[in-house]
Amino acid sequence: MNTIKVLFFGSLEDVVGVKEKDFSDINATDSLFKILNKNYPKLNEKTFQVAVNQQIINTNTTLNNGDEIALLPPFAGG
Amino acid sequence: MSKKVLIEGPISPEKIAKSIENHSSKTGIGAHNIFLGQVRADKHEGKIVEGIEYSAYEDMAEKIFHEIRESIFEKYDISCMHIYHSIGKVKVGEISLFVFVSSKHRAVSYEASRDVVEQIKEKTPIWKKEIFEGEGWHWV
Repeated sequence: MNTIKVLFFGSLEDVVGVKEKDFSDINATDSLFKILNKNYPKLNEKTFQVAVNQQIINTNTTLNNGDEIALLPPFAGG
Repeated sequence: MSKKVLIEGPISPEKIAKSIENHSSKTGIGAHNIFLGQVRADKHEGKIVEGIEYSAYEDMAEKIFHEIRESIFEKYDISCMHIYHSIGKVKVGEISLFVFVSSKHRAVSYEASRDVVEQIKEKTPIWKKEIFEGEGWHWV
């Protein structure tokens, strides 16, 4: 069984209601987003980038046990 | 890995003064360029901002700060550089970003400083929540 950790930052924390959540038996980012969009329909209205183990990804990415996936809304530092 | 950029709460004027003082022994330096970001009392839908609460994907942010630092040293002939960015709550009028670039001559210090600040805005996973006077807040 594989377990991945998903982190929700900025306004996404309010959409989902938690800062992080573990998921089991998900082997790619596409399948993760199918589940997330179903569980949290408001995520569809949000703009964000996705990082897997701190690297921003632009295509469907394979997920392995222990991976950390972060949903990053537009940055606002400074 | 270099020392941490993210620090809890506002950046004190004393810390900035101390940083300047720490460079007095580096006598090859002829120019310091300092950028300070200060929290502004913006208005949003009639409410006045009293402070900002910064949050970050801390591990990734530190990694990106390190990459920005490397890229700046590669691109410009500077002597040294320091970045500090707040996380947590910072009240209006307080400092939340401190970028300090030093070089032999002035021209390059302006360019490098601007580049650092622009890269921070563009690349670092940091977010801010504006806290309003009275009650309420909003994500920027």
